[in-house]
Amino acid sequence: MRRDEGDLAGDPSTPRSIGTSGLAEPTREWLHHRDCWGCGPDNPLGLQLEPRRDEVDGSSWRVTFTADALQHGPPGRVHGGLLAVPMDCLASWAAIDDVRRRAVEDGRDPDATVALTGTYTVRLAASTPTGVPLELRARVAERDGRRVTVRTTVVHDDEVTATFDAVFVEVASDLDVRDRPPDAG
Amino acid sequence: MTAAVLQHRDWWPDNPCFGCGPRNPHGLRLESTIDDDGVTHATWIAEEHHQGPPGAVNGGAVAVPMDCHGAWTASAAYRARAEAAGSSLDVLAVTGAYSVRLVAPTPIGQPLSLRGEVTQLDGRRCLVTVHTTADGLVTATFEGVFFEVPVPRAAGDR
Repeated sequence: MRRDEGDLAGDPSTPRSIGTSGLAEPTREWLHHRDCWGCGPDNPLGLQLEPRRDEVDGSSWRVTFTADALQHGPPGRVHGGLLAVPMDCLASWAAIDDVRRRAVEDGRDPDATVALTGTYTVRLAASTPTGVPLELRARVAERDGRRVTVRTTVVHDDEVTATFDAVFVEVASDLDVRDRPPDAG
Repeated sequence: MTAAVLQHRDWWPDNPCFGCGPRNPHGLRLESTIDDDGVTHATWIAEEHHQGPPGAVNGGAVAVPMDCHGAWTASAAYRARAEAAGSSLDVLAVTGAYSVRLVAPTPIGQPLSLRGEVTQLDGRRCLVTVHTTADGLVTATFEGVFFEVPVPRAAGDR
């Protein structure tokens, strides 16, 4: 399955300018590597997430994820570690989108910048069931230099079952992560 | 002490867990052991499909084995306590919360060592740290809060 540019950039319901900047937002086909375990359309064993920017607020990101029977921790519940995968992935989209948009606002090349996960805290507030759609939403909570703090929630049946608070670090997009790790401080 | 696998293979062969279920075809099938010092150990190898940034394990995926190994580290502490008290119940651990720090990229395709330790056992609550190490370098740290869930021993039909 291949998603073309129209999925995100060309979606007529996606706002084309953000806030008061009046600048066209940076568009790109896919914000992650196409083999990403969370969202990579070219990863047949991945979760095949399709993150979407919220059409109303224009800045938060949403995705629906349904865990299958092979993604259990305790029987009937999503594995508590595995739940970090879609939350981290969606939060990363929000962080990357944020640093790209700031690059545009600053007159820099949005393709030259990206954000990597530094640290995160997961709280499992209630049991998260497998086999039903879970609504995930990620929102940038704070920016501090190269650091972007993102809060992500998992909602099932109007109840928040898990939260994910993460700090991402902006780095040059041509950085080979194997050479230099991010430093979230 | 024994090098027996902590995952209750004896009475729970059908454990569906993504992290440690022995028959989960998509899972990591972790096996955790505990040494004489009470430190737990496991190894895994991340595959191509666990990728995040090119060449590195997905930042969320790093949590999967650390959470699972952490749960069995807590479970071992609960079990030892239950046995010392002469309890006829066995125990499992469920995750309450955890924090992960990615201190270096975790590589794909080479053995990754997990090392777990209980830092506090307080009633039902157990605090556990887990480190992921690749080729001698710590790549990620995990601090988890787990809670005790007693189960009947030999609950073979779970």
